[in-house]
Amino acid sequence: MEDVGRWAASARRRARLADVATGAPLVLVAALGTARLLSWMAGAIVGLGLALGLAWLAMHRAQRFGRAWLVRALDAARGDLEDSSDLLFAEDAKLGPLQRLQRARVGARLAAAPVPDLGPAWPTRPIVAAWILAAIALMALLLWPAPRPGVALAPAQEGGPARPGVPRLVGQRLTVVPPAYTGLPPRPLDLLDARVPQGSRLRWELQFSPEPEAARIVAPGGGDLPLRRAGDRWTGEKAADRSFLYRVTAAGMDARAAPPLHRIDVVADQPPRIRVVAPSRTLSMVTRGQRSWALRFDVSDDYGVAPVARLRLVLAQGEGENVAFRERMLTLTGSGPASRRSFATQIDLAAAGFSEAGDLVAQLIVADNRAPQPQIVRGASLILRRPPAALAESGVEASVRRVMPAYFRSQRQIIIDAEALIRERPRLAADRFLSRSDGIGADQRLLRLRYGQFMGEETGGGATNAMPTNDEEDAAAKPAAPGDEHAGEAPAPPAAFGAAGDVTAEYGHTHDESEAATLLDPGTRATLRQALDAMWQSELALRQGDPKQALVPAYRALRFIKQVQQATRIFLARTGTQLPPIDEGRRLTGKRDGIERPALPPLAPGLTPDAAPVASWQALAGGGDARLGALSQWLAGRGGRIRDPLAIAAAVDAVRRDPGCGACRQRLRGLLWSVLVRPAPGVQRRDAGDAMARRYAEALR
Amino acid sequence: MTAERGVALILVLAVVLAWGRLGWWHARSGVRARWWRVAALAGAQPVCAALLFLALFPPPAARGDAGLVVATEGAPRIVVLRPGEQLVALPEAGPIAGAERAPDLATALRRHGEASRLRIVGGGLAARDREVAADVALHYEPGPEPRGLVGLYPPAPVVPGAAFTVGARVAGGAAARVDLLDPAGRVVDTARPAADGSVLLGGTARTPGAALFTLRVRGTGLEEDAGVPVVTEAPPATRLLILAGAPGPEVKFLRRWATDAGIVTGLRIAAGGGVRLGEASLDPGTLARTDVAIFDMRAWSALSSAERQAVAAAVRGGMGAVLRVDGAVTGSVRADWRALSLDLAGGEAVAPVALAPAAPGGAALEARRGPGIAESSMASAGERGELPALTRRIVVAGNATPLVRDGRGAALALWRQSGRGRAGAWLVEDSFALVTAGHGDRYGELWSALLSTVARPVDRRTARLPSLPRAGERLTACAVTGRDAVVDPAGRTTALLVDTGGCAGIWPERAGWYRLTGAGGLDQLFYVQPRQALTRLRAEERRRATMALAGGEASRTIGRAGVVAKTSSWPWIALWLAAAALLWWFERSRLGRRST
Repeated sequence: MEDVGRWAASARRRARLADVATGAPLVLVAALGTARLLSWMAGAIVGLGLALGLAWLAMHRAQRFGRAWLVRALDAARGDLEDSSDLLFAEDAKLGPLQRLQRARVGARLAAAPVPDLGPAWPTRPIVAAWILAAIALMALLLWPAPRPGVALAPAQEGGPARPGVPRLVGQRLTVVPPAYTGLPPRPLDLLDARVPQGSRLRWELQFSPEPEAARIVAPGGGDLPLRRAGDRWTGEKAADRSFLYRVTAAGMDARAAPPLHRIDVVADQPPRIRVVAPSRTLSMVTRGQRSWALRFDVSDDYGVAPVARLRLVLAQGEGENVAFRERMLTLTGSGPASRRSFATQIDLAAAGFSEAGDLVAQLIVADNRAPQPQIVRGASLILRRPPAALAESGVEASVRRVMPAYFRSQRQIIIDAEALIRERPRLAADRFLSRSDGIGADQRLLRLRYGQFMGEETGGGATNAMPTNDEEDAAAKPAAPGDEHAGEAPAPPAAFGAAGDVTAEYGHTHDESEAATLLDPGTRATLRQALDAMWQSELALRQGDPKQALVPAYRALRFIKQVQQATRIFLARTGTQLPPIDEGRRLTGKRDGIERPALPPLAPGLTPDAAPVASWQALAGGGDARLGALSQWLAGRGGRIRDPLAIAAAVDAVRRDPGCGACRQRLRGLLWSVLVRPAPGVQRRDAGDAMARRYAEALR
Repeated sequence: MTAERGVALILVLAVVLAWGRLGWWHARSGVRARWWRVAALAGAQPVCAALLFLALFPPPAARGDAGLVVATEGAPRIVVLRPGEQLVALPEAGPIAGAERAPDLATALRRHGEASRLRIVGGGLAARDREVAADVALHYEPGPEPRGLVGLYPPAPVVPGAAFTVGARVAGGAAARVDLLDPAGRVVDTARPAADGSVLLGGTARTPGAALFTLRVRGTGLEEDAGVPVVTEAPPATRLLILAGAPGPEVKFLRRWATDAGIVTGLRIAAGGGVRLGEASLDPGTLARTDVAIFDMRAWSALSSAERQAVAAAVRGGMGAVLRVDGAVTGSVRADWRALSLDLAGGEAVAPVALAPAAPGGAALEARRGPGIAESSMASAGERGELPALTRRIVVAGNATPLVRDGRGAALALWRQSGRGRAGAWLVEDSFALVTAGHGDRYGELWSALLSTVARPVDRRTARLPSLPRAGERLTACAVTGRDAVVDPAGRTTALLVDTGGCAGIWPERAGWYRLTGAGGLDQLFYVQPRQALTRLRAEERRRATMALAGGEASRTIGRAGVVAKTSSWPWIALWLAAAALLWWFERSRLGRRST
């Protein structure tokens, strides 16, 4: 019956679809997994293979829906078939009459009523479960982080011959994980030598063949690191705090043929660098009407500048000794990328309290982002100056002038007093007039003495720090002890702050000409000398009670003093090169008895340079023993004073490994050149030449 | 020639004998011959003899107008030949179309005896062929000068610590930069070539031994690295005598430097009033043991006349004498030193000395100085640009050779030969300031330069060697004996075979340091450059040498090159045989006999 075929076929189709629907997610997951693990091509091949297998399986499994199944299913589904549905499929010839009758009945019943669905139920749950699970697996596969690059290790480059049974490095990878603050990504390297930021973590992944019992990283300078085994790989981790050399060794390696050294160079974090963009000069003056002060700094760093910097503001206001300081900290927020930040601010002068004459000093304090301790750098001090009103002309001369009038003005005062006294003379008694004149004369004397100091005069209490306020200086002089020509000098006053100019007076005897030991140039000195002479005459007249007579020299003194004030140059006289001519007649005429001819003590021999590098350098020229032991010892002791000790240590190691390697020896010899001390250049005498050369030289006129 | 002459003599004798026999026979036989028969017989004798001579010594081939073109290294693949020219390629030449290969020029000339003209094509003749070509008229059209390093002049052996100068010439290198690198690879000096391509670079030596510096030329198309051998020898023992009119810093630091440099120093300083520090005496015996003496003006003036004469005699005998000019040259001092061949005048005025920095940069200066000994008394840590201002006396010395110059070219020292010795003058008043300013190394260099020039010559054996020998090329060592030997880099010793001129050939097979050792303290290191090194320099050398050969007289012919081509002797033998046979027949015949 064709219906029978139809029923079975539909059942098979459904069974196949159900199988495929259940198996497809597995195939997908398997294919994608392979693709992620190996490659897309492998994934495609695996997927195709599995799909074919699944198809075959589904076809195969669908075969169970045959006649036997149909009979069973019909019998089970329809009770009215009386378990006789197998008759429907039986061959006509083989049936008995009763069986034929029964078949006709059953056939009629079957045709009369619709046959229920005979096929297997859809395995909904497994299908859904499979798809859900597959979806999860697929998501996981797709979202799984990309496998670390270089799953396969780089081939080792240790060189050396391979010997059976001796472990040998065959794969290597060095992963550098810079400190987090640098923001640098981890860096896998195929080489075992590296330049790494300070504080990086180094992770080695190594592979040996054949598998050794144990392996370690040996640093000749100390700090060995045993490696852990994980599968066929050996791993180890270490923090790189300083540069070092190391080699990878494994148990069972030949101790004499050690593998080559590798080198880790540590690059230290640089402190931030501050560049002042505005103002352009360190010292700037307040301009008229200036209300604010613009500051701008550029800060750069190798990894990053902290986003917040501090600005230290020091306000120094006041004059003379009455200067008040006030310090304040501002916080500035930078802009721009982390490695190059820009800090800018405007300081309101009024708000900062900078209203009087004085200085406002600003200094930027900035840190980088190094961990654990940031490096803090202070920038240059920027000064904003508001000059005092009187010092508008600024400069050294102005300061000098400002100090001097305090003394020079009194000459004018003496003149004014003298003129006033002359005007009052008719009204005054003679003795009163004389005493007043004498008083003015005393003032004139003090003034003269004070100017005498500028001339280096020692008479009359010159060269003291006392102010010309009283007449007691002469009396203060100690009685001079005979035999000590310096005893008459005034005792040195206690050192006062800022009196740096008096060092000579304080610590030494000035034996040279008094006039040469001043701060004044010869012209000024002559003028001052004339002023002193005039003062002297003025004083003389005043003391004698003749102020009228005194006025002329007093005015002259004032004029000279005015000239001195105009003199701008102050310098220290040079002594030494221009000595007075030697009077040969008087030289060495004294008694010389008892003076021996002293033998000159021999000079200490020059320092000899260290012998070890010299010996090695010379030995390396030939093929002999290079005396590496002494050199290594020397290197260990001197390592800190050599620019690149690691390079020499590595070269020493290379020669030690292979004493016959000419290139290694030459390399070490070249490196040793940089540590050879240069001796004092001696004398290379020329060749005497042969007899003919000698005769030629002798015949030269 | 002697063989030819001997044969000719024998033949002349034979002719005379034959004539004698003819006459005697003629007289005895009684047969009356006609005169023409006698004349023919007599005349045929020398003809036969001459033909025999020619058969034995055939005359040189007649020279045609044939020319020989010799292709050398760098010759173009296709050489354009003029009519009558033949092309020969030497082994250095690359593949040349249609050329006959010849192992060397002498072979080529022997093969082509007919050629009368020689034309060289390509880069020029190798050293091997130049000897042969020296006697040949040749024509050479040189190509342009090769660009790059074409001259290299390594320093002569130096003493430890000394500064040395390397010369080089870079052709076509106005934009080139030339660096000198020490064996550690650090740049010690940098310069740009002058207009003529010459460049001078300075470095410093260290301990005794052989060091290979590198001269690096940089510039487009000029890149080349050349090894510069620097041999440092142990310094010869030197005895110095310092005489000073007063103690002073100059004497102090001079003594310090001399002691550091291992110079034995005698000292005599006048302290005034007849008091002396140090007891060096100036008798002839002491002076004969002194290699160099340094006087200042006051010390010289204070010498007795006997002492001055002793010094003058010592200088003529080889000692060096240096006068430190620290004041005006007085008449008597001038006369004394004029007697020592050094004519000094002036000295009243002073001028500042502007020393040029020793190195082009801070790093180079550091590499030049090397690491210091921490506690050294001759400090050398001054900044490169912070050289102290020194003072020199302005001295007029017409006949002297300037020795050390400052940055502006002013001479700081002078010297002149005086007999076997030398007299020198040091014009800087205050060179000690270099030490106190942290330039002790410079101070030592200056004094080392002066005293090395002036000091007594030292007797030692030195062989003369070419400056840039190359592996695979013969080099000639002169002033050697048969007991000397050369040790190659692998340590193999080869005895020398010396020719009559006192020279020996050495064929270095590999590059590296060779040592020439022998009796009399001969111990000389020399460096053999690798085969591929200095290609431009070699090309320029070939070019110049060939140009020099081509500049010779045009009248020279190939025939004088000692390789004479001769014609075949067979025709002469045949002629002689025919003549002899004819003569024999004629003598036998009855022609011209008078019947009796």
